[in-house]
Amino acid sequence: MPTSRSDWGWRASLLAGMVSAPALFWLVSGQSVPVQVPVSSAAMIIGGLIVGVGVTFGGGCTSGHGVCGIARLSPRSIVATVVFMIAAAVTVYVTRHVFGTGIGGAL
Amino acid sequence: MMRFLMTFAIGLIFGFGIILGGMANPAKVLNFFDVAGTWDPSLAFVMGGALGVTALGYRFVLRRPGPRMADVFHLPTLRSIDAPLIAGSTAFGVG
Repeated sequence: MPTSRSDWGWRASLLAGMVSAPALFWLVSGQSVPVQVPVSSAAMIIGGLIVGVGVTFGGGCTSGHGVCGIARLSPRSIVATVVFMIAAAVTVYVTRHVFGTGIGGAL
Repeated sequence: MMRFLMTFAIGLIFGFGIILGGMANPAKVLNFFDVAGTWDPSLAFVMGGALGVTALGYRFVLRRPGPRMADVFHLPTLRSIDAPLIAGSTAFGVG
C-alpha cells in the first residue's frame, strides 16, 4: 500500500491503541505485563534498529507476512516467514551456543 | 472520527493479544528460537492461532463487496520474490 499523508491519522491511532494495551491488561488482570529481557540495553537498541530496517525492506514482519500474508497463501509471505524464522534461529544459536553465555546470549 | 476509534480498538486488541500470548516478553520470543537450549513453543501456538483466525476471517470478509470504513480492500499486489524481500526478512530475523 503506498504511503501518503492521509495515512498518518489511522496509523497514529493504531499505535495509540497498541501502546494502551498494557493498561488494559493491567485493568483486566491486575498484573503488570511480564517482560524479561535477557540481553543488554545496547543489544535491544541495535536489535530494534535491525528489525526496523529489515521489515521496511522485507515488506512485513511476523504479523504482516507470518499471519496476514500466509493466511492469504501469498508466496512472498511464505518465503519471507521461512527466511526470518531461520535467520532468527541461527542468530539465537550463534549468540547463545557458539559465542554465548548459555541462557543470556552474547549480545 | 469513527475510523480512528476503530483503528485504536484494533491496535488495542492486537496489543492485548500479544501480551496475553506472552509475546510482549522478549525472553519467551527468544526461547522459541532456542531449540538447542531453553526451547519454548509458545510462539508457534500464538502464531498458529492467529493464522487460523485470520485465514477464516479473510474467507468471510473478502467475500464482501467492500470494507465498511474504506472504499476498497487494500491488499498487497507485489508478487515477486526479490532481493529486498530476502535481505529484509533475513535482517528482521537476525534483529
